[in-house]
Amino acid sequence: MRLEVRDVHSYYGASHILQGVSLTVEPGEVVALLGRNGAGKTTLMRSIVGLVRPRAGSVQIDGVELTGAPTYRAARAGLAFLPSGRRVFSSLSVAENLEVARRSCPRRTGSWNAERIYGLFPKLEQLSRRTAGYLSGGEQQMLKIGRALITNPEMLLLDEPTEGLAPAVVDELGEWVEMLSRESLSILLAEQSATFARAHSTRGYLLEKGRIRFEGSMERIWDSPELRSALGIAARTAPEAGPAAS
Amino acid sequence: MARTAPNDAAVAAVLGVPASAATGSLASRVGRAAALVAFVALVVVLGLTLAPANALELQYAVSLTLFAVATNLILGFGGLVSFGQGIFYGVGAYTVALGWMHQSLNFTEAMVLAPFFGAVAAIPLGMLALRTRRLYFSLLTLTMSQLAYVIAENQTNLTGGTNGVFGAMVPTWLLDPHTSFLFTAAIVAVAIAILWKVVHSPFGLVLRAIRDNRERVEALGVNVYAHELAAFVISAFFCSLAGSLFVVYSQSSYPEILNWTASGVPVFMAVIGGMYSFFGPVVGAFVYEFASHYLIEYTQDWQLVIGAVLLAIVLLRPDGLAGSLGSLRAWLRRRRPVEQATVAAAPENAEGTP
Amino acid sequence: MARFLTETIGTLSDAGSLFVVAAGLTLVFGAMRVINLAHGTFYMYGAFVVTTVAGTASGLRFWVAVVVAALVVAVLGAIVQLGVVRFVVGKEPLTQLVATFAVLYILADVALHLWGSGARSVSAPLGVSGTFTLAGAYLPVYDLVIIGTAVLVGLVLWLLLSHTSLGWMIRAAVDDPELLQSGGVNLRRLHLAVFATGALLAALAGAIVTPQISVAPGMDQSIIVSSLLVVVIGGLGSVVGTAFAALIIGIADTVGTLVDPTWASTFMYFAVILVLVVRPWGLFGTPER
Repeated sequence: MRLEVRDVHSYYGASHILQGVSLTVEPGEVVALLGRNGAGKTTLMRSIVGLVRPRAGSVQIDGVELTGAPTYRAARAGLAFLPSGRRVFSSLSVAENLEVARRSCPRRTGSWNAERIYGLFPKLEQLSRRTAGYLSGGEQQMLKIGRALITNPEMLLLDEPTEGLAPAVVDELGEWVEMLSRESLSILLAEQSATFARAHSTRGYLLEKGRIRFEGSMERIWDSPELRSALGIAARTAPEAGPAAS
Repeated sequence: MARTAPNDAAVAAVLGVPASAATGSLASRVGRAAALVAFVALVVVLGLTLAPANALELQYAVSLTLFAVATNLILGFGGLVSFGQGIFYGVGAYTVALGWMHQSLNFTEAMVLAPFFGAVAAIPLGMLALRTRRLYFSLLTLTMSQLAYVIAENQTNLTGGTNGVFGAMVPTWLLDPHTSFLFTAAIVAVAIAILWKVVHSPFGLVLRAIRDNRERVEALGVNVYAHELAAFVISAFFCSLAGSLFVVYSQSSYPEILNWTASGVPVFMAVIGGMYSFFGPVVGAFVYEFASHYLIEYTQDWQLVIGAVLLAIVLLRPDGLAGSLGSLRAWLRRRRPVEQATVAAAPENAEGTP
Repeated sequence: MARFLTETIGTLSDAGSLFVVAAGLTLVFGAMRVINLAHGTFYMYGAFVVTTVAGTASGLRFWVAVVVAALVVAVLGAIVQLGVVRFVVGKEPLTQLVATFAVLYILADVALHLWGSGARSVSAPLGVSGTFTLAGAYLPVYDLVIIGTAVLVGLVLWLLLSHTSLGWMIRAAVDDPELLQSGGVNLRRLHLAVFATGALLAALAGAIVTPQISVAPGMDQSIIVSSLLVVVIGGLGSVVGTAFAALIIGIADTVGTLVDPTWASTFMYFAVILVLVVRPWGLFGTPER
């Protein structure tokens, strides 16, 4: 699936959050969306799936116009949005969460079903009857990904997936991202943690105050002290020094 | 008490709320004042020249404007959606009526005491109601209103029960419709002027700031609860005053003026007229009263008409008629067309397509 | 003992019909975050439709009338949802209250045109009219019908919400409507289904109580107050809470009448005020987000 965002302008009330953002994600590509808190990363993702209605610009997937369509269309077209934070249906059990997700996109078929998701996350199978609100942060992350995969999407929009996760879970998350990318899913990855984004994506966009400031390979972002400081990463020599807190 | 709460004027200055809503050029302020004077003059002339029955209706409408403006102090300026202001309206009316029935208060004493009774009643009720927020506040005040109604209806020995209190409770000098109109109009004018002062005082500014951004005002060290309670009590004071004027109009008091639909009436008036404008509820009161009283002579379907008006306003013009007037004026000046209306509409509709 | 039985059955019957109306209100609030002041209107319409369809005949036709009433009003609910309520989903409580109150006014007027301003009545169908004796008490058979209906509605709702995927979706909408629609659910269609179901429940309650009350204008405004009390005590959005709260209200009313008739009708209001002051989000509710 190819995603093309062209010159999108979005508002929250009177404030002009996205001021003409364009980006593309090619089939099978993992693209990072970098930027500080408040740069507009979340608004961009919400604009893509229609939770925020852009005032101008267009969003297309595989050449089909998505701008202005109700949110549920994006998911049914194969675009799975995973919002940041602990977003699961907290009063439903794990199995019910997955079933609701599957039924939400009844016409999307493919290799992903509950069995395969339990195969990927054996922990979820053990907890399948547990109420989702009582899961740990890492387990909720698995469920979030499971909920997305069971709809057999072609592209994932991951909003701050590492936020609030223990380092060990972040490593696991990285493995899952690699695995999904090998399955030729396209991924747009919004991250403040530039180290995670760098490790798992090839190309990135740097969003600043609602505009794309830079677009290019992760290496070029990493090599430019200027861009690094824009991201709030100290000019260290050791890139694996951990995610930058902002 | 190591820390003292900052005073309202200082808080208002910090928040950058304009010191007065009467902004704009001197010319427009003079124009507005002139329009107000002309409107008051028109109402007075009408009240004095109309046939007695019509003058009486106009008097009622005028007393309702006070009810609506007093309710709007907490609704539009405080952001507290109360479905319980009918309680205080009823306290005012029953103070006069029961003072007469039980021969414990004469008319003048009762008229003077009525607003204070309302204010005193508002202290415990407000303290309870303000423990809740938003929708729950509305539902709790609605419940209180129904409770007051049920008590008035069932405590027959005290209140006269379902039938209420009817009788010659108004002194003879007030029986002439034109005199009673003037009496009502004068009291309402003074009361509304005081409410205007309250809204535009530092206290009123802080109240609006609480409505717009509660957390921020709290962070400045303001006792939000005390401000809301004070506003609730002031509103109740004037609602009771309006209720005592109801007795001057109807020479009666009965339980229905306390129930939840009666409590809803001033809210609807404010919504129709525009609750973010001080005089919006005045407009709303006239429109509502005209609709429910005069329409009923031509059509049975007054509920349909009022329902349709409310629906149209709440769906199409959340700012009320005053808001429409404002945007019309702005449009005429070709400055910023309907921007105000767009901003006031709900910020984010997560649901999607309209 | 006889007195106790009579009071108990009467209380359960009142609580039962109240539960059925209030369950609809709380379901709509839970899944849509909309408080519908016109909910009592659906109850009144349910009752009026029964008086029209059942006529004077009592028997099978009454039961047909109950079903017709529930279905007709469900359609009415769908119309109200499409025409008004969907525009106020996600808006301020004031907007919702005023808009749904406007619907209450408009439909009250329409009801006047359709059924006039007089009171109407329906007699209980053969087989469930009259009384039966138990431990020396004479009990209305029809009370058992109402209690049975309430239990049935409770069971069906429980099955729906805990064992069907539609029910899970409704609960998911309570938890996080945005997540639900970004997962691919057409939230508006779900809202339509929920709102129509809410109207259906109100109408069912209104229809089933017709043999025991006089059906007249004004029913809409009084039942909405009682059902708001129930829903608020139980916690907005909680069906279990609603069942408990309906019982509490029913008991408060009965006990009040036994203790002091002139204060009887105030008991339930005091109960609500007490609950809200101690737990501002109701017994089974959750604090507002």
